[in-house]
Amino acid sequence: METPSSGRDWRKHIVRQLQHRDRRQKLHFEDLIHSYNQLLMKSNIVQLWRDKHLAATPSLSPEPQNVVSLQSTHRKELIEMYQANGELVQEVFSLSKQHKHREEDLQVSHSRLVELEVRLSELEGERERLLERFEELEKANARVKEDYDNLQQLYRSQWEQLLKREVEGTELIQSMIDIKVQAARDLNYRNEKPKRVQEKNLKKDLAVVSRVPISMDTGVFPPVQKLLPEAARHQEIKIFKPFRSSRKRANTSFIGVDCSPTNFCSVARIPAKVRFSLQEAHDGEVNAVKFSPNSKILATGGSDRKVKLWDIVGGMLQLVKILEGSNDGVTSIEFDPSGLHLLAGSYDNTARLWSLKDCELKHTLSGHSAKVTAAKFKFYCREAVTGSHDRTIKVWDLRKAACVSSIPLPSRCSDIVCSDYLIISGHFDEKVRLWDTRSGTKTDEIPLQGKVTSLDINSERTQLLSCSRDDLLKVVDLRMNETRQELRAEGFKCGADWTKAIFSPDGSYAVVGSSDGVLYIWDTLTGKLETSLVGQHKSSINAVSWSLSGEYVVSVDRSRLASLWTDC
Amino acid sequence: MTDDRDVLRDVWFGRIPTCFTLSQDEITEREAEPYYLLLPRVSYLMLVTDKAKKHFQKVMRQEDVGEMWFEYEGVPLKWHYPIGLLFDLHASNTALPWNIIVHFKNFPESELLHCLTKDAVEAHFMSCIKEADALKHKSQVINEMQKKDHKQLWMGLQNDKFDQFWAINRKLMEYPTEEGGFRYIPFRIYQPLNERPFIQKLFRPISSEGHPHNLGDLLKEMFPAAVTPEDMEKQYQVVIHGIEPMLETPVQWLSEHLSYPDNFLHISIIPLPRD
Repeated sequence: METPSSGRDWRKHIVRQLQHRDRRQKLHFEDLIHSYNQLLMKSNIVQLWRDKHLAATPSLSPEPQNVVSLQSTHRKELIEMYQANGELVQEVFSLSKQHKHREEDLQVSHSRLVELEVRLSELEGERERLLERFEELEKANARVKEDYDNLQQLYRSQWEQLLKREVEGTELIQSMIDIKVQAARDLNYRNEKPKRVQEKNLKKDLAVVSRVPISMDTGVFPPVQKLLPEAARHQEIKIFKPFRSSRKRANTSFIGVDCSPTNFCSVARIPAKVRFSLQEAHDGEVNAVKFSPNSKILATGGSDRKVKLWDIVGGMLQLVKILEGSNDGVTSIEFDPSGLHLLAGSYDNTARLWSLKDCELKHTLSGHSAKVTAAKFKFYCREAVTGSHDRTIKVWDLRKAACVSSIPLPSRCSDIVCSDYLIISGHFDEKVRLWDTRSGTKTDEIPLQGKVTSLDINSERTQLLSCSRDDLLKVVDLRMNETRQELRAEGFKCGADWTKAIFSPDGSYAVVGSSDGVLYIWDTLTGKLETSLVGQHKSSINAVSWSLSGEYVVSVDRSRLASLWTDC
Repeated sequence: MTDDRDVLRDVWFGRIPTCFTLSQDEITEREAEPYYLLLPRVSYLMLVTDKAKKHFQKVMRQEDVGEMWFEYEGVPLKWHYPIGLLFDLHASNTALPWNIIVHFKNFPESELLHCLTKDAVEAHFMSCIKEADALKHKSQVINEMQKKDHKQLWMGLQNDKFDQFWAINRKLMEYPTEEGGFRYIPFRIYQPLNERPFIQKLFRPISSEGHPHNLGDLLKEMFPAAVTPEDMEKQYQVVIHGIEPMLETPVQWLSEHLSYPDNFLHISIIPLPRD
């Protein structure tokens, strides 16, 4: 606050006045009053002492002669008081010393406290630093972990890619092998051409020779005679057959039935008429029919629990053998590619394996909980696959006759075909499922519009034929996984849940039997109906089989009839 | 300014030599000697007279001791006035020491308030401070303070601790610089032998034009008779804390430095003694 020059005057005035006042009022009296109070205090003490003394000795009267004794007693008491005073002073002294000590201790503790506080702040600083470092390390750790995760993922994806590539590689190899096999077969065929030509010539010569009448002079040529009629009979049969068939003759032994495989058929011939019909082929419905790989023996299975083996002699079916052992109707029959074994599935929840060398039941594969609808060989007699109405597909090891694996399905299986690495199954839920046996997983699903009743695969294993309850046959290319053709015909009705449709041996035709006993044949390349054959069937045809040589087609139906069809 | 600080110290440590004498009416066992004390100007009677009370009670019988009250020349002394004010008002020009008569009976109910404990003094003191701050700062400063600050003011006064007291009191003496001073000056003008206890009105320290008011302006407004025109004789003395400040002294400065601990400027106007 600014003070004008006159302002200092009043201030000075006030200061001076105050000093003056104090001098007058305070200072003059200060010492006086202090001394007065001291005297007052002393006289009070004396008073007190006197009162006490008087109270203690009331008899004492203040008389002159006692004054001296009084004085002496007073002096004594004074001395005592001084002593007490001295003691008190001592106490005061010691207490003040104690107090000083305490103060010193307090100082020391204070300084220690200060030190500790300094140390504490230092430690806190360090703690801060350590925390920072810790955080840094954590961050670094997180980063490293992220890197690790990324690398792990990368590794996994690479691994998957590697697996895929491997699969592709093996598939490629397989297809290469297939091509090579095909080439080899073609080569074989071509190589045999001169042989065939030779045979043709031989037949011609024999025919010429046979026309020449032979004199019945015996003795010299009896063995020749006997032989010749036999040979002639055979030849007769042979004449009717054109030269396109390339079937080799194999030995027939009467102990067992020889079904060893013949050569691959190149061309199939469409049958034109019924050659032979056999009523009462079985005692019940005939469910399955299959030609053996050498096209000589035919196997049929029916609900009379028997598997019958027939020989085709002179255009007729002759019963050779009955294989027994099944406890209920037979549903499907398959020969193994070597012709030594026969596998049949049955209503009694089992599949049975017979050896054809001795016509004995070798193994019974049991384990299904419902009827086995299809039993097929896989890998040339080492393994078999069975499909069943209990909604499983089981893979069996045939040497041990034990189930190796079981694939659960969402629907009942009606038929199975095996490719090299695929098991293809048809189901009642209108789907065809493809399973990869190497990985054991389903690779594909083909939906259809009706219950799948049968499946067939062509000999090159490239195409799949499916027959379904909606009266439709589908040809599916397995490599591309797409439907090639859809085969339908007016009047064709699928007669049962197990109606079988098959490819011709060369894969160019598909044949199936209808519910009214008519045989329908389509060209699989064009998809057009080639022909429909009416024979002697009066009821629904259950199954058909086309011989590997291409000559014969056999159809079996529900009224126990088996028909042999040929083209001439 | 060190001058200002000295002024504050001198005001605080001002003393009045007093002689307490027991009244003749009181019944005593022995004759009671008078009791001399240097009373602090800024304190209150009931705070500083414990020793005197003990001194006199020693010579009296217990049953005769009633509430102690003081009287000077027949006038009962109000304990809620500061001691300095009482002296300036009643005995400023008399011979020292100040003779006060001590009574223990016949308490004058109509003229004095009872003061049984020191809490009454504290309550009165604090209410004066709050009233003063209401005038100075619209009670903002005192309300911002915590209870312990209020206690510190009281303890500082009670135990005669200048630094302890002024540590808090200086906050009450602050004002925003743009204002130039307090809102209103807390003051009371006393006269001896007057119907009215005191004069207290609103008075601004800075005029509307902006120059500061001084003591003369205050008196002209509140008690014009105290300001003597030039040619006439001086009729009244204007006493604060036992001194007569010049009329040019700014009231803002007076309020800051010459207030009593209760923050009021207690001004005594006494008629000049004739010869």
